[in-house]
Amino acid sequence: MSAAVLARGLAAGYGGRAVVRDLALEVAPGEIFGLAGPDGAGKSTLLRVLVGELPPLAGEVRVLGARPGSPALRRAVAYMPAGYGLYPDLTVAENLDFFATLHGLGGAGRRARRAALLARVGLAGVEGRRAGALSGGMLQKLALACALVGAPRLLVLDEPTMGVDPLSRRAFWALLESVRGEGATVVVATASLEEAERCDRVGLMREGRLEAAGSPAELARVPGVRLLRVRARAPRAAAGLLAGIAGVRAVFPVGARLAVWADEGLAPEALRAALAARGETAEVEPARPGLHEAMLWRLAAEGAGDGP
Amino acid sequence: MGLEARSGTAPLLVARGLVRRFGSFTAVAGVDLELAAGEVFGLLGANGAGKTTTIRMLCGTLAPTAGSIVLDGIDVVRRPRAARARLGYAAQRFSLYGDLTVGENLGLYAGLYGLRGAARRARVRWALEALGLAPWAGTPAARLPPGHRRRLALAAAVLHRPRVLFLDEPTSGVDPLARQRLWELLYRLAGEGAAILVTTHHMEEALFCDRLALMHEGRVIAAGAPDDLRARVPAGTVLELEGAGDGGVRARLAARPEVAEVVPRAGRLRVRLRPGADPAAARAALAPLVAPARLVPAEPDFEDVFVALLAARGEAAA
Repeated sequence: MSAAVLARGLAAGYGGRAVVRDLALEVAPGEIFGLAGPDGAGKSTLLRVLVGELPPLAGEVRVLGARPGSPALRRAVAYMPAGYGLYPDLTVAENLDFFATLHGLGGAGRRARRAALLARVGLAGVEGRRAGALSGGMLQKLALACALVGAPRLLVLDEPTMGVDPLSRRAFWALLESVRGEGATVVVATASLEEAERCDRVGLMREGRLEAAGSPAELARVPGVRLLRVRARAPRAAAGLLAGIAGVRAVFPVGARLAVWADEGLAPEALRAALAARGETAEVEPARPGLHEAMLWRLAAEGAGDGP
Repeated sequence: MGLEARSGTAPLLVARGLVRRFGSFTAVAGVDLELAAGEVFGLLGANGAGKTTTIRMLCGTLAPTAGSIVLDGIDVVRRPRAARARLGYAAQRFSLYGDLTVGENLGLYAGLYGLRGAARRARVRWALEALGLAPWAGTPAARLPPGHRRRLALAAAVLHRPRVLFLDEPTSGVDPLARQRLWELLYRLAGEGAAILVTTHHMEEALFCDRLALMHEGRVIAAGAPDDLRARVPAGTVLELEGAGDGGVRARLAARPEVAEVVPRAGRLRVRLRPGADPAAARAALAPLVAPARLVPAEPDFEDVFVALLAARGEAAA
């Protein structure tokens, strides 16, 4: 089966200025693909191209085999923008009906479809409430219901869980899994690398480019070095000691602990002994890097981004 | 419990019974906080939990409906202007002059704080260096990357050597290195004697704080050192899959009634049991589903802490 999303040499931006540059991307049908990167990396711009809101400046894009924004995709592609794009003065039901109309879904069966969607996202019983009066977690669920109203084959979400509480986040991801379980493809942007680990594959964006793409496990692999976690009595003083120990490559204080990147050959016991020889009693244990830790190491190792 | 500042030091900030209502909506419903010199304190919670409203009251930019705030001996509620000379506040939305350079923006802020002449130049230079903004000093502020804009907001907030520093979501949307460097800078400022309060909605950032308070619906639902709070997650309710599971293991685990969710973390599957599930019975029931791999207890993260605390309040049923 052909790719759900395919981009080659894509450039996109505003006022002729490219925010996304020379980007290649391939998303397989039925996968949850995460776009991760800091604010300003170009995630939202790329998503807006995929949903047909922003014409590309250059390059090739195909979404479900068609050009983004073409009429064939009207119902097949759904978009949940950052900030949700809902109408606060309309009720829950009116918001849903509005999006149904946008997707060309007429009046027949509207009520039943609405009830089914609201039950699915956990909002049954609040049809008449003003969207503006909903909590953050409920707004997020309503936004997802609005995106699902046309039963899309590609669901595009821009930072959907930003700032919601952990329970709402869990519920939201369970819903994304169920949408994918029905065969849809999901492309989700997030600034959180911890959250990106929930995706099947992740594309790392930086300064308008897709730097790498792969499974979270692949992207978190860092050859030649290992991560050790150190708990010292005086962590801030220990940071200085650690930096002077042979084999230690980078030291990151994290509250009462320190994340230490070291040569692969440096055993935890050796580091503990080296600290003891310098008068610091510390616990040292091996740790498995996640996406966040691996990315932190890579950025630090290349001395990234401290000048214009 | 956990709300008192570290023993041995007089607190630089004491807030008691803070309440703020907007019409019929109660944004903050009775918050007590203490901060000591040298401490990095976190206020964690979802958007809408009341973090920003709390911080704005503490800074004297929003009058509380009820409650008292004393900052470095000054009554913030009665004398907000006097208090503002001793505190620094880096808001989420920072007003900068896009046409002016980074250095010029800082010069303007230094002037607002009453710094003049050589003292002003020295402090601007210090702030540029401390925040890694020196290479950008001559760049128009409008052309700064978003992460650097946040650093500029922080630089402006520390120009006048405040005793207490407030930062609202300083790490939102920045890359991992910028986030790490920001926390390291806060450790340095705390080491020089400042008391620092940071808000964040990123639960995993809890570990960076000396102490923290978790906010939910306008209240502090728990406060303390990170490890003390992690100890409040019932033992054995967070498990990790050790050894390779086959492709179907995630779905098999997720389908079990005692499992709340299964998520990949650092190349392993994390299994979070439902609040109220018996850990020993659950592990015994799940073991055959994963064999020959094993489920072993894992260190809880702050999402687990938050969920456990809500469960203890009876809000996380099912």
